[in-house]
Amino acid sequence: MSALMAEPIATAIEAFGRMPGIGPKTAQRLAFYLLRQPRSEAEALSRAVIELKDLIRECSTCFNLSETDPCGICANDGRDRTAVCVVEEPLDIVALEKTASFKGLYHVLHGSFSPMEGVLEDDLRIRELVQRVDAGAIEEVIVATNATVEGEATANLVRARLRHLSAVRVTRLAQGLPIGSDIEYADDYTLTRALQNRTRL
Amino acid sequence: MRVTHLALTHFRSFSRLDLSLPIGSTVIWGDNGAGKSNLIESLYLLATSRSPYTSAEREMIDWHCPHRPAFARVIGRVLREGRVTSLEVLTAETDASTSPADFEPSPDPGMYRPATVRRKVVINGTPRQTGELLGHLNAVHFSPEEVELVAGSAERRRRFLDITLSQLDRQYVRTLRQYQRVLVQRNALLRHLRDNPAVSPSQLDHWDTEAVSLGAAIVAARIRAVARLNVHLALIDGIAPAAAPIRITYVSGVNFPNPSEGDAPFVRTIDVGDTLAEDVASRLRDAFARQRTRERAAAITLVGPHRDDLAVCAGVIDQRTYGSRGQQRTAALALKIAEAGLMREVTGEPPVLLLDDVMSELDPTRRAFVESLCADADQAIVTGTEAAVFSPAFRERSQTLRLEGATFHPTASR
Ligand SMILES: Nc1ncnc2c1ncn2[C@@H]1O[C@H](COP(=O)(O)OP(=O)(O)OP(=O)(O)O)[C@@H](O)[C@H]1O
Ligand SMILES: [Mg+2]
Ligand SMILES: [Zn+2]
Repeated sequence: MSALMAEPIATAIEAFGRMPGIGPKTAQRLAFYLLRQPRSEAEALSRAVIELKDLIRECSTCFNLSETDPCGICANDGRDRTAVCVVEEPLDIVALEKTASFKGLYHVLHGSFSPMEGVLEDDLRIRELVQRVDAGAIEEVIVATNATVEGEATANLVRARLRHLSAVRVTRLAQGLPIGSDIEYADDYTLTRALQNRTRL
Repeated sequence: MRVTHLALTHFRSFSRLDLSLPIGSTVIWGDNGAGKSNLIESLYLLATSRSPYTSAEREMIDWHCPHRPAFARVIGRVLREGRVTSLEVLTAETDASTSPADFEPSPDPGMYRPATVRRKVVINGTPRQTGELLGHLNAVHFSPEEVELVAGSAERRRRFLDITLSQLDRQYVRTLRQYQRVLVQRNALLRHLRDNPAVSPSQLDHWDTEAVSLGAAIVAARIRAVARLNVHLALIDGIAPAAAPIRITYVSGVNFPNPSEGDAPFVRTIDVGDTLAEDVASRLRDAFARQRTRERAAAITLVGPHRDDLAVCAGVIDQRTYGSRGQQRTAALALKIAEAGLMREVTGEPPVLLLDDVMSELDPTRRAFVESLCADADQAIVTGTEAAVFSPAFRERSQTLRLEGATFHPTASR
């Protein structure tokens, strides 16, 4: 490919192609799109990428990504300090915050328990979570890991590591029917889970 | 239940085919290589989203398909209880831009085989997950290669149970897929623990929890299916009176309960409060605990549904090892007939029979029996290299089509 294409273009395509979810075709499209944009556009993009690396750090309490340490959520006096919601990724916080229905704190594990990808217990921020809960103020830990095989194993692991703290309630997000959906069109699996997690009327 | 119409586009040797299928039996005959098995395969694909053969999905795309990305499309219309459902399975090349250097050398320069494909399922015009296809069209497939069901490896027999259950219970497919994922993860962890003795093995517990609950659901469903299949096997004991009755047993390194015939009614895994599954789970949990040391040394999961098998006996003789080739073939046919019976029992409708080239292999008694089975089904598609392998009476009652050069010629029964 590089023999037919100027070196800088090939380099850019390669760089894009290494990003998650971007195949060779999309990488090409991105490179040629940027080539046609004004210089200012390219500068803005490269500045954004550099700042991402320079200005973002992990909150030392909840491990959310933030410009400040502690992060905005941890520093906010209005939040409920007795409840912690455990998530796999910082993006999960964004989703939960959009609901505006959770007023507690978070804890980001930075991944899920996935030995095939080389992610084991020590690669997740589980020890830090246990220390946080050990410290005393927390009454409920809500495990909001994904509804995947790995998310389920992660939830099992978190539950086990908190078991010695009998005063702390450990809960898991419920799984069931999407709101506004027709039962007829729900997939079997979701419907089964909804049946198993049914609630009293 | 039946297929009223089948449309193929660039599916194997068919660049295009439109075929209406009537109620009752259709006899398709043609020379070796005419495309009979390909046609049967396309119908099976609509029922199960997979091929009855172990070949790769990409092989389904017509080597001469001129489009890029290359694709194979199978569309079928299924009529069931007065309702028509349109099912479509599209197998398409993933990225046409991948360099042709990745391809295996092909015998014909005009031949094109994509490196990787993806599968898309469309039901009544709406894209769906592949698993959602199951249950719309129930089919039972039989061909001479199916002797491997008895003569082949344990994997072959597990697949038989899994495909039967998948067609009856979509929840089963999900459970199976998740279990396989858990196995991959658990084995990766076992390898990691072997290579890093300092790491705490307590991490295994959390995969065991998952493996036990998913594994138990699979084993319980299989054990129930085996019990019901034996009831259906008993119904055909009389076909060849001289032959010993065929029965099956679920075989496992774990001592699972084995309900005797008919004890355990068929229930879908969706049912809650399943005591059999609970019993199986506790035995599986014990087995995991007992095997822990051995598993850590072997760095592989040694117990669970992925290691189990099915014993197929004629009387007391295990046909897997001691059956003659012909006995193994008739035992395999018996299993398939029982599978059809179970499907009818559970869904209330006879499945479509897809019988590829089976007549030439059978003795006259069994041929007559297969013809009577076809007569009982709403629909049967049967193939052969010549129409003469079917009895004149059967041909009289069937639509007969001759396949030549990948197109059909309606024929008078010959
Ligand atoms: N992807 C493909 N593209 C084009 N042709 C294919 C493809 N896959 C298989 N074929 C060809 O399809 C032809 C028909 O095969 P098929 O197995 O359906 O024949 P058949 O009628 O069942 O023959 P037999 O009587 O020997 O069982 C074969 O010659 C095979 O090479
Ligand atoms: Mg054939
Ligand atoms: Zn924080």
